[in-house]
Amino acid sequence: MITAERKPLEELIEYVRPYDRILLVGCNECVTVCAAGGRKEVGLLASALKMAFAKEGKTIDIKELTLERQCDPEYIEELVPHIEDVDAVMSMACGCGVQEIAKRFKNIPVFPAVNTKFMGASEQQGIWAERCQGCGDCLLGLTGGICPIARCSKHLMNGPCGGSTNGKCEISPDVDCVWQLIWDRLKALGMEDRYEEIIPAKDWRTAGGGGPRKIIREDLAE
Amino acid sequence: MTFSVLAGLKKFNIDHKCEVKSIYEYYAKWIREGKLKVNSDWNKDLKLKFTVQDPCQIIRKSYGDPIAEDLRFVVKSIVGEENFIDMTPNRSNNFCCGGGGGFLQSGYVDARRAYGKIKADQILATGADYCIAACHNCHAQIHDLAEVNDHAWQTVHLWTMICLSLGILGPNEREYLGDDLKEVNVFHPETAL
Amino acid sequence: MKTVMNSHNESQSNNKVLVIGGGLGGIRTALDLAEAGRNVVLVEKDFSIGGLMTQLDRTFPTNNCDLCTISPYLSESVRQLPIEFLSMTRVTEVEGEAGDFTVTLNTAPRYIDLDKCTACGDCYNKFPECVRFTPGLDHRAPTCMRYPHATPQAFSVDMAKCNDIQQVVDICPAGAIVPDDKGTTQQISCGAIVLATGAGIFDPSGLDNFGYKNQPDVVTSLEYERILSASGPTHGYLLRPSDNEKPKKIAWIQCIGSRGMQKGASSYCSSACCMFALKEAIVTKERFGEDIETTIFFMDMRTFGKDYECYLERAKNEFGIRLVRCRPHSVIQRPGSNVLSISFAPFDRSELVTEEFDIVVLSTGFKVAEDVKKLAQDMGIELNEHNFAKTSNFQPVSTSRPGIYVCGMFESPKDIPETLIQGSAAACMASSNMPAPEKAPASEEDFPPEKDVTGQPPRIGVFICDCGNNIGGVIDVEELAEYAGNLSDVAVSKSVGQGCTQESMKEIQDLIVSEDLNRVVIGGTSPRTEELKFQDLLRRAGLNPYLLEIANIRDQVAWVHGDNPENALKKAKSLIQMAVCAVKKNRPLIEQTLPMNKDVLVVGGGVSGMSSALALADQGFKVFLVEKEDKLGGFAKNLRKTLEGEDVAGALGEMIEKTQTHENIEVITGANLVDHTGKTGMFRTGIQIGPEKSYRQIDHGATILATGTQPNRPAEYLLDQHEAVMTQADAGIFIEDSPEKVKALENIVMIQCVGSRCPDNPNCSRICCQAAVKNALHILDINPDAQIFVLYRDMRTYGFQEDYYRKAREKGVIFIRYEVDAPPNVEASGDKVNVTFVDPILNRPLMVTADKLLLSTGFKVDQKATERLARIFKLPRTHDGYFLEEHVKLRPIDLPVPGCFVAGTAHSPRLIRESIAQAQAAASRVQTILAKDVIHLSPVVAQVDGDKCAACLVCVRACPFNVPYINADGYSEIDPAKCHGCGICAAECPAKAIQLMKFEDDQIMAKLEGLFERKVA
Repeated sequence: MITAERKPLEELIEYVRPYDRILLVGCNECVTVCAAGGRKEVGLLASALKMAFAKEGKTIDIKELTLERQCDPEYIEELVPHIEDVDAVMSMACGCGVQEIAKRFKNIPVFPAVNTKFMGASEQQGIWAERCQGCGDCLLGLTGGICPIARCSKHLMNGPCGGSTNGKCEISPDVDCVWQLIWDRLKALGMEDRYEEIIPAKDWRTAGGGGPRKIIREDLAE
Repeated sequence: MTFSVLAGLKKFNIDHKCEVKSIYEYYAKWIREGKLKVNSDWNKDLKLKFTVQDPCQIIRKSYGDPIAEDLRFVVKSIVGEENFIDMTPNRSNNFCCGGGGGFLQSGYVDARRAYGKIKADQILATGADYCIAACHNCHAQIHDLAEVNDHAWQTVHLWTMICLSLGILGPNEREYLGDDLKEVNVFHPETAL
Repeated sequence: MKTVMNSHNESQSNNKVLVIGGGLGGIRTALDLAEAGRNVVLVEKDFSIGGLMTQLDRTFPTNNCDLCTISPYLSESVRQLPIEFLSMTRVTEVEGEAGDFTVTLNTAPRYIDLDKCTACGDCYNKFPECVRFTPGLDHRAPTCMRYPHATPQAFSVDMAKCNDIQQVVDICPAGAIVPDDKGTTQQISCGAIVLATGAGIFDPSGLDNFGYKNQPDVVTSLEYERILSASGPTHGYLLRPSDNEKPKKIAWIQCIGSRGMQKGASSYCSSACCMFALKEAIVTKERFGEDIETTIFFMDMRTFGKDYECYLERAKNEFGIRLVRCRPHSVIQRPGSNVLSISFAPFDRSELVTEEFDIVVLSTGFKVAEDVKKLAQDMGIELNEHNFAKTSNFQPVSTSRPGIYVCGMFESPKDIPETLIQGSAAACMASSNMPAPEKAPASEEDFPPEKDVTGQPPRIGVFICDCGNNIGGVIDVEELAEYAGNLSDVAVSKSVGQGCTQESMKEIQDLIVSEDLNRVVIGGTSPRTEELKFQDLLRRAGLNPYLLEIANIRDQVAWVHGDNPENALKKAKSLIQMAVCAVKKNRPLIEQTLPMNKDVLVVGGGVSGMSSALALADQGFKVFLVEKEDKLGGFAKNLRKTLEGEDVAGALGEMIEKTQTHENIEVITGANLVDHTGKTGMFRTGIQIGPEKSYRQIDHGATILATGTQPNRPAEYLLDQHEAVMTQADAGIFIEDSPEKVKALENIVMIQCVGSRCPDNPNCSRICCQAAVKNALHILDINPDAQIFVLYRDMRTYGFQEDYYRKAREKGVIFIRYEVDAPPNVEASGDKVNVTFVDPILNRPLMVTADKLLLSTGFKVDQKATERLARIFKLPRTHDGYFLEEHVKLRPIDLPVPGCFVAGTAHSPRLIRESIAQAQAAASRVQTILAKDVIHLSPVVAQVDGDKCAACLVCVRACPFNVPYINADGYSEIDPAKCHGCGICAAECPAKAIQLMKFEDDQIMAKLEGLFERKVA
């Protein structure tokens, strides 16, 4: 899922300070799962903002709404009846959602409430870690299912650097050296030979190096 | 019967149909019924002061306050109520004289007198001239305590005072009376006829 | 007067039990039997029930108010349908045999018609000083109600003190006075009888040395309780009887009338006095001033119950209660003053110390009342030498006459939790004389149909309780009721006195109907104890039971803000307002039913487990008995004889044989518990059997944990290092099996409290003092010349064990006390050991060369094992590691998880007799919950709104009971049958897709809005 973390309250207060009526929109997918922007977080943020402004003597009217997703236009349409009554929108969805709202409602300022972080998976309840950087040319088949692009600090393709110590990356003892993990996995699979096969220099154009990316499925698009 | 007989019966588990009572109860009863015509007039002018010992075996360990009350009734009847001074504490709370349990026969005289000091202090505190000890063991101990306390009081038996107040105490029964009483109400069987 | 029909239908007698005595024990027995579907006749010789407990102020060790904790039981016992309650009634004759008794009952005239009396109190007010029941401190007036809100709620007339009955008749507005009441005599048939006749209290008037008769400030412990009590003669103020001044120094003298041989004293120990003296001292300081000096004069401090040793430590360390080990002789009033002086010899120096006190409390012991002794003799029951009912160690509540049982004080002096245990045990055994009850009690059809309130505007009834002084003493309930009456949507608002009484509840019920209320708010006590009762009341009034809100103005206001009544009232108003706002959002919730599984799982095959299993199996229940060892028997396998000389091995063997061959018991040995889910009536437990760990699941309706505890073997005093050193349990076997070796012994030393009452294991192991005495007497039987020394800290031979302690001393066993900070020293000396200790009287060290050193090592919990079990069953434990019951005083068998019960040493260290009583009690408790054929599923469960669910898995991970799962449609689903209603998932769900019924967001928000609402003037 896409992981995110809510922005510091001070920053959000400054975003909405000029407005008296705002619409706070949550998303029921990724940000719900990582407890950053679901219905509950919407409720909590709305209360926090109201209380912060009440302390200053300002009353702010906040409408709370949570969409199933914010990355499909049909869901964004559900905001139409509510847009008339507000002066600004704050979205708790990932960057995709914020932009979709902004695209649809051109005359209203839209602010992000979360910092979108990475594509990742749950290690355990409350802990999510980066797993994929969307490089567009997945080589997980060669590395035993472990990604050196997302998980190696230097995006190395062919084994660890000299800084790999006791299975940890030199940037922090909390970060595993992914090539250690890959090697252990290949060994467990009996596929050590794969390690010897050189992965050539990566074409980063699919990773965004060639500009903003788009997928067009001609069999699905009209 | 005496206490030692009672104790013996108990120790050897001998069955008996006797009810054990103290003579104090009967003295009190007879005085109330008028059978024992005691009279305290002999002390009306002398105004000698009396206190009374509460013997452990009879009062605290057996019959308790009721028998202590009977004892005081008897004493007050024979010496006059205004001439009786109770020691403190008294009745079931009174201290032991220290002479029981064979102590008098034991030979540890200093220890016995040390234990008896509390009793001696109690008697001295009353300021009484006489202490009535209605138990022969208490009598011996309290008499001995007086010897080492400058003869501050005289120690008498209860029967002695009863007979004195009845006017029938003979001349050779006055060993424990003080000089102040030696000649009072002397009874000569010949002269009484 | 209620008329009672003679049982014409013979079948009725088969299901009826007579309980004699309406104290706590009798009430517990009656309730257990009624809940299990039996008919009960409860007779009480006094005009109201409650016994001793209603006269006490606080109970140990929780120091809760007695009347508060017992009142719900009292009113409940009269409201329960199958209990017929006869007050002022005595048993005069008993004929017949177990299963078919005919009993003659004689009811004395009350002169007041119970059906008509409204307890208005007019007769009480008009006729001379009618003071409430205060033994020894107040005289009774012609009419007297025993304690506030007595059950039955009616007065009675003492004709002997009444001059003119006609005046009383005229004064009564209800026309309830019956001047020519003759009382009644009737016969009833019953299948079993339970004697719960309680105890009399020793009268210290005969002890002149304490001056009880003529010194008003010398009081008995019960009189002191009345002084402390809010319903007593001083209305809860601590005042000296002689001059109503506040005392500054109070002394307690223990063992008055107990542990004595003279002046009418009983030779046994009354078991509860050490604890109640400590409690009275603590409560005195807590409630009336830390500066009051409290001193307790004692011989041995007998705090042997569960966690009682910790209570003692708290008393000493936190409350500064002074304990003086001395039995003073005299209490002397200084002439001319009220001061009382006590002279005593302190243990550590040889001099006479005199101190002065304002009040002296005599801790009087318990004995059998004359009328109870006569009753028992008339009933043909064997009594022991002290006139208590004689029972065996393996059948502790069964008297010598089959079909007649005993519980509570009449079996032996004991405290309240043990009384309740025996009450339930007696219920279980009484039931065994009768076939299974025919129909399940109080089914749904008995209630009126539920009113449909959907769409109706709220009509709220607010009822404020004053709980006697408990709430009313701090909060002005009338003002509170008036305030509530002005809140929006409140149709009725009034104060109802003590809300949980029969009368008040009837009043509320009637108002609900007559005023057409559709919501109810109770301003009263804790929902934990009262909610079920009031929900039941709503049902009876035709309302869904979930249209109720309870505001706890007792615990949360009166009890904690007693010193600040003005603000207390403000807080109470807030709580009521919150409840009123919340209750409008309450929705009717429906309880589902499922068929109840009536099988029982007993975990642990020792004497407790087997006793429970047999008691249940004999009454037709199927029992699965799971034991982790390969053999049944538990710790008792290590014992040969009891203190009284009963043969443990033989009785144990019989019990094992019966258990293994019983057709209703399936014994599974070598088995370990691994998992457990479900709720009452539908549990499923997984076990692993044998070395191959084959897995099996057992479906059952209730669980009894009888997993015992471990004998302690601390590495102290050369235990397990020297052949001469052994534990008392080892010694028991050694003495029984090797008498010729015992004959050769010269010196034997025993050390008490080894590995107990120490920082590592702070509580008392209870059974070691009697074990030491037992072994000492047994050694002397074989070898009268042996010299035995017992080194102890306190000799805790409670109850009738005290007689054996005396016998041991008479036979020449030497008992020497040691202080905890100067323990004995043990060194090896060849095949013997040298034990050095300080003799406190000689004040010199002594050394004994012992052939054998016996250590009283007691019990210690295997924390890892109990932690594992506790995790599987979700149970709390004490810090020692024993399972923690629902309420340490009033629910000593029920565990906090419904459907789960504890018995035996898994609860706390106890003797065989006490373990078996608890095991039988657990069987009785199980029968009360398995009596119904269906389980009512609580509707307080979590529900998922599938549309909102993000399938994020948070609830699946967070639920402690593993209930939610993502279903085939892709959203979380919660099975209401399995949900325990804890609310964790509802709190965690990031999509706010889960609501906990009865605690829904809008209800909670309404409460908050009610709290923060400001009225704009």
